Amino acid sequence: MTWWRRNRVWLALLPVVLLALGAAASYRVADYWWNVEPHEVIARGEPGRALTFTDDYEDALGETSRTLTVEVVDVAELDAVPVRRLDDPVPLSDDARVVRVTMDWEADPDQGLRGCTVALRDSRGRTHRLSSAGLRFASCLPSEGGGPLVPSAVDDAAGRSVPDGEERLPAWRTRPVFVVPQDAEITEVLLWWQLPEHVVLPVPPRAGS
Amino acid sequence: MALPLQRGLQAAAVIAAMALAHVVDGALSAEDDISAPFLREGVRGEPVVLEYGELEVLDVDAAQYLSHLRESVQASGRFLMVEVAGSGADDQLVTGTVRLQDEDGRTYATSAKAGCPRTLTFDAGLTGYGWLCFDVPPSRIDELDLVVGRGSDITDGTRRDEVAVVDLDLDGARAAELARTTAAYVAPQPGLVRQELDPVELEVAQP
Repeated sequence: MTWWRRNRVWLALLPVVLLALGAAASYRVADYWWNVEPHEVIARGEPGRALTFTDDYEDALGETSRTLTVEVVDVAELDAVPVRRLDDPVPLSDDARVVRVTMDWEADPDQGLRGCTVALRDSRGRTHRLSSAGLRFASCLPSEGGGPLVPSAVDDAAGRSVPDGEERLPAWRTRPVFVVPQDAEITEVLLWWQLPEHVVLPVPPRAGS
Repeated sequence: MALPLQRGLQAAAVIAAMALAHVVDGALSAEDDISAPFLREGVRGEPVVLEYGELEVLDVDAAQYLSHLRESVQASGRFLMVEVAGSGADDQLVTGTVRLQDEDGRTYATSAKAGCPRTLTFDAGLTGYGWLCFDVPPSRIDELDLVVGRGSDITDGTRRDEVAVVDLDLDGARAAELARTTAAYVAPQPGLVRQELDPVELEVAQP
């Protein structure tokens, strides 16, 4: 009996063991790559049309969901940054330009929408988040009236309640502003609460360039 | 093949496999937070290209006092100020790791009291600028490297990820000049354009 024949069972198991070894050693892939970048599309809209979707998620109190409608109305270029910092205009370099995204939102006032992020994706696959230049704009929620809180712990007394004066209207508009490279052709608006799950909203025709 | 020879070859194969595993384990040690294959070494004035962005140390200066929000603080040693330019590759780059280290492995975190940013954020495809401020002993200024990475030491995120180690390239005369400085500046804030250091005149507080 040859060596190969005597050890055929172990040889057959060797690839399985190597795969198990690789899987056990790759736990950080989820922590440091998969879960920190937008990888799972939960809903994808169509250019120029509103998208209604439901996002199932889990907070400190357990499983729940949010349902909302969102539409990217326009992605427009601005001549200047519409904010000032310490009384001075926010300075931009020549290789940067400013775009403002206009978004319409609709959701029942009891839907928990706090903690969401809006970002842009360009034709080269780059993701542009709210700028490091110090610009801060309400990206998902109206500047006043954020609606239900997100409980931070099981014993969070406030739970998913709505603080006084924070009742949210059923429909609102936001206009977040982004600083992007001159050569960035904006193709999609991304929306997420907890990565890697995210929503993709293609920009309307004749916008984003 | 004679049985003793076969047994001998099997034992040699086991020993060879263990030796190979030892070599691999040594090259990719699980004990080091940063190991050699992931270090990207550079020097002031030259960009360091990482898989997630690009970083360059542009300038180094020092101050004895930094002023932020109308309050000035004095360094325990000297505030060594390192100007960094950077950009993200495909996404915004947040420098989770920022520190200086000397030849003895001693490390210096960014100063909490200086008023400068503790970390820097660079947008994808856009060059941003910022000064990092460290409170260091004057005697150590001539032997420091800047260590910058995407992951954080706190969350063990620098392991198996690229980290830039940039020689500040200060010769003895320049290091001695910085070590003796009594300069006072406004703590610089990051942005999309370079910011020159803004000197301030300090007033002695009246009792």
